[in-house]
Amino acid sequence: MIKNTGRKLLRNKSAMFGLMIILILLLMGLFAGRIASHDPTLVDITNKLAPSSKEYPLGTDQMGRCILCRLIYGIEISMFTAIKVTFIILLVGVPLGMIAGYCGGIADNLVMRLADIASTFPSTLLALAVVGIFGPSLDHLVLVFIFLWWAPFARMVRSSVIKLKETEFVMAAEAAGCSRRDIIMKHIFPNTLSPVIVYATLRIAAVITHIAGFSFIGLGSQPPAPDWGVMLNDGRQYIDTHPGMLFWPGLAIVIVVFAFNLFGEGLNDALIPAEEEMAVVKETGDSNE
Amino acid sequence: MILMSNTPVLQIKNLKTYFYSRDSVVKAVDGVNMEVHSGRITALIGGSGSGKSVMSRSVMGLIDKPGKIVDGEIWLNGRDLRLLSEKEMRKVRGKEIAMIFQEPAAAMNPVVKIKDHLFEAVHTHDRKARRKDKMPAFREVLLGVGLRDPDKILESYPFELSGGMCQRVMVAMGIVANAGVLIADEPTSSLDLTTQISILEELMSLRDAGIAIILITHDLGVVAQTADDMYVMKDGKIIESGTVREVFAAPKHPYTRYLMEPVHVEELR
Repeated sequence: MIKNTGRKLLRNKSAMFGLMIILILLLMGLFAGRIASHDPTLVDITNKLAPSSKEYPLGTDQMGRCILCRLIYGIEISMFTAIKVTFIILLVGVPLGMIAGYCGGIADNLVMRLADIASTFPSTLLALAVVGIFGPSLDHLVLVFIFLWWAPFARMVRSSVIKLKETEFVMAAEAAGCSRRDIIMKHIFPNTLSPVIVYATLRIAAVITHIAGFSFIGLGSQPPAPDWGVMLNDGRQYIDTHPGMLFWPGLAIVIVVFAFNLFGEGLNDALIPAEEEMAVVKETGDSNE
Repeated sequence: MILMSNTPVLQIKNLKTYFYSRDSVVKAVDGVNMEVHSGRITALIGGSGSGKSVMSRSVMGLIDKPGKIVDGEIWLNGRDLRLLSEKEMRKVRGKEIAMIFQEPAAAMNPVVKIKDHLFEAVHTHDRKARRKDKMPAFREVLLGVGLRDPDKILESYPFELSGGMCQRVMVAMGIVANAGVLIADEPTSSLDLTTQISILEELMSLRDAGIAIILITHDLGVVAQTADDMYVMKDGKIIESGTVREVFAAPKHPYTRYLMEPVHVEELR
């Protein structure tokens, strides 16, 4: 399975293309300090709205800050944050789903009702409420995403666990005297992973667009942070005179989201057999977006 | 015929396993007595729903809600398994009683390699075991159950093997665990005839090595070929028992006779 998956994934050109973009951007983000020649928040009014030049490849914004440098530092805010958030969502959702599926009964009921609550909240509305109460900040936004988006993962894992619990190989493991921990960790957990990995990859893209979206309307990262959403907002007033200010951050978001979606689709093809694909789509068709 | 030792390795007395639903009780196993001896194959035969699989799961202590063992004793190596805690029972499973299943391919985790399956069978009961030290032994065992290319098989995943190969691996897992009792729950019903025969031959050579085997089946042909003792089960009760020779020579119960008519053997499947 693992061998085949790798091969299938390697052969999938669009998935590899997506992965390449993701890796290049991640490296750029990691070494932002070395690549970017300017401080992304350094204001230089004398040099504002400069056209593209050798020193400022994409020009400068209304405060004279290097647009390319801000985009590169923005990788950390959007991609790194999104990956971190998705990871935390997994850390919350997957174990809860395992508990619900494996234990059943009251635990299952409790977790699933919490999941119901989480998935009935529109994320935009809750984000507005939280930001309204605690003030706009990326951290508050991130908390909202974690609070709401663990639910589809828990559901997905739960349903796989329930299916796996009844399989003969789990019974065989029990009959061989495996401890409960071994059965969960070795026999159930690895078999729940494929849909989770696929969905998590797609979820990263969703988190990126949400962060950018909320920052754009001023509820996420605050200026002068080099957030792509903030940059879009800055560029709004200059759309007629300097469309580049709007264009470049927009393009950055599109590229990243595109890359994650390509990669996620490729993983989907490689990891999940066709007849199960429908099930994953159905289980994750939540009303969050 | 091998001399029957006097004390059975596994003795089941008046075992009752019931399943409870809201307003009814299903008596899946209802007062079964059974003796299993080392170095003999004991066949448990019966139609679908006669309770033979529930019976084997009861012995392993693997009955989940809504099922429950309500009465009886299961004596293994001088202990009543019903009195053991779950933790003690875990040490019995796999180490003293191993089990192989009907769908060998389904009984192995698709993401775990064969070598890790074999190692798990050892490691579960011997935490100090090291994978590296065990590999030569694994190769030997796989050769022993008729798998010709053990190195390749050890590195394979279950779905890369055929059903017959998987069943041989299952038998090998039973062997490496070094269990004295092996429960084979319809081990050959999903295999083709030639594979079926060679798996049965493996079971017979295990018997000759002194292991007690419980062979659960609905196939009287298999019983006639391999088993030493047989129990006929119907509706949760043992209706006839004895050595295979005795029962085949003079079936007492009408149901046994019914089973032995060739047409109904086919119907049973």
